[in-house]
Amino acid sequence: MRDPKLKANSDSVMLGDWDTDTVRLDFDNTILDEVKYWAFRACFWFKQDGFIILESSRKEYVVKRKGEVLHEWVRASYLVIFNRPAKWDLNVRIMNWVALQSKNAGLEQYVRMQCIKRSSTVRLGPKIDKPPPRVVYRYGKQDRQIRKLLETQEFILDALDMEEVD
Amino acid sequence: MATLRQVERIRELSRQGRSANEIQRQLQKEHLGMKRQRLLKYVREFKGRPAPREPFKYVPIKYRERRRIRIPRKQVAVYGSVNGQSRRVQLYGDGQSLYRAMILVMKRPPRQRFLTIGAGAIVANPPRYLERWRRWDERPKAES
Repeated sequence: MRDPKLKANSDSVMLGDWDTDTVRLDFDNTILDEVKYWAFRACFWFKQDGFIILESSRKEYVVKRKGEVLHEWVRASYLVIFNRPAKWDLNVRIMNWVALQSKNAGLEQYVRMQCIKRSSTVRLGPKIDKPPPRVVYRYGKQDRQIRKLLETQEFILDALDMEEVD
Repeated sequence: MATLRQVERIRELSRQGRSANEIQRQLQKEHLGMKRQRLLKYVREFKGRPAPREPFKYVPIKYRERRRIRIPRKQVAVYGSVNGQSRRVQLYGDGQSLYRAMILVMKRPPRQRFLTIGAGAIVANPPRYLERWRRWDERPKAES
């Protein structure tokens, strides 16, 4: 059943999970603590049962002076997925609320794109030089939308003959 | 919530070995009637019997249609770019048909820029939805 050409083709396309019921957020170039802060705020304000944070890409910055490392920090792209299913209007409300409050330019662009498509998508497979997203933080219940998302990721990575990163 | 009197009466009747139907009828006669589901919960507790494992089986057929359990289907988005223009296919389905549809879309981009379609439809008739001669770009410029 497995197609050997599939893995070769996977560089030119991206695979993700899409639907209208799951609340998803995409924070670009942010630190994890900030993402956690906004995820907790949205989780409590909109009564979501729980959430999961996935790290999709990572950049490490180093400040050097005469070969000596003075300071280093990490910035990454994170995806937040909430557990409770929400209708599309509530989904849009939550995404826009976080985008406005956090003032994250990447997230604002992401939300606009989802509104144009009328469904939200997150990447679950590998990108050109980026690995598949991996779970870095979990909070609360994980039995509904999160479970569904992780099952889809397992399906995608299984199709690409890759091991799940968790 | 059941009153203390109701609970005591259910316990008493259960000890006498009466069935749930008999208990319900007796309670109604004594003007102590309560919801069937709640009554069964107490009867099971007092008789020490477990709840039925597959309650769906015992739902009469005429009510089954309303209570049909929906099987969650997988939804996979395949996206990339063709000549610098983003293209996206949103697939839904399950198991083998979804896998086959994913293979087809990963090999050939869709004719439309944005397509939401069941996996079975693409598998049944790929030339209708997918380009024959074009290929996906090597380095896609597409956003989620």
